Amino acid sequence: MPRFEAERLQDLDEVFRWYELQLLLLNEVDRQLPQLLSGDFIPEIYRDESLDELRKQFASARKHLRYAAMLHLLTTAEALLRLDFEHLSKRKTKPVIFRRFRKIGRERGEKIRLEEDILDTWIEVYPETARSIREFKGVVPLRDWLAHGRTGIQRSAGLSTKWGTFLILHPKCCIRCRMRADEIPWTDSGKRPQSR
Amino acid sequence: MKAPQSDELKDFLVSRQQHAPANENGGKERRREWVAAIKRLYQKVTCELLAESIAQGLVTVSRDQKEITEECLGTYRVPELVLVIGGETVRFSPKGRNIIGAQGRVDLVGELDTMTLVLDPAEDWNIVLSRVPRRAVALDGKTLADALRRVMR
Repeated sequence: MPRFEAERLQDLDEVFRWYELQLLLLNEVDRQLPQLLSGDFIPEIYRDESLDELRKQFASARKHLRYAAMLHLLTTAEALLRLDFEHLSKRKTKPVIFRRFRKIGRERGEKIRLEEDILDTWIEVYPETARSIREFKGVVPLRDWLAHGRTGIQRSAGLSTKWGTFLILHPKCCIRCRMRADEIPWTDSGKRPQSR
Repeated sequence: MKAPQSDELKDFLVSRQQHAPANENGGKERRREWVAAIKRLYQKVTCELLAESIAQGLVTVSRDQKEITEECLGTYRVPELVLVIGGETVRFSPKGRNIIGAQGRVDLVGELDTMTLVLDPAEDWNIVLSRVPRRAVALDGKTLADALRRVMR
């Protein structure tokens, strides 16, 4: 069974730990907000704010944190796939994927495309990975949507398994992010943003 | 056969339940005090600070209602004080009782800007001129005039 080199790297773990730490800190402060109503020490940033407004600000901060974490995870995953491509394309060994990557590398030089050159090659060479790779391809528009300020033309397309590839890359991310997938606005209508 | 519920879970639920009624009772009292403080503010503005201008017809006064929902206080209605000055509307709009660093907050909302009035522990109303660095002044005729100048066209 072929495996991604990226799987052995720890970077996605680090990104996910960052997300969990930020979420933990936010929730901790959120829980302590009522104590500020009767406390002696009041940080200036909170003074004269209503508790409910602060709660809304924290809810909004959690939403933005999730988006930031998604983008961080997706771009890190892409970076790992690209590093993986670079690494494999330089190997002088026999497996087909190495030869295919070498050939693409020679043809396209610096302009390696994530979907066509890397992901599609994985599918062609190792059809058994097709499902996972296609799932990852499914989240590329999410990355674009997040990276472009969460705007974009929408078109109809199902995207029910958008976090699937993280099952291969990072099981913990997959489980956690699936739980949050319903909060991505455009999944409710079964639409996703136009891939750029 | 059903597994017995864990003691830890029971303890947690009991502790939350014990917490709730206290909040509710305390909340009703705080809500009553808060609404009374709002009424005192309006009384001060209309019967003291603006009394002469109202009598002369320079300022028209009316009341509105606003619904507020707050943690531990629930949903309640409070009066808003609406002033019409030279054809322009200025509104005293209560923000809530659960305010960090104050006993309550009412916003003075004009067409150009909004200013914040906060209730201090001594039950006096202050106008916040600046949050950082903190600068608040007692509500009186002069400070109200300054605030109106700032929020109106």
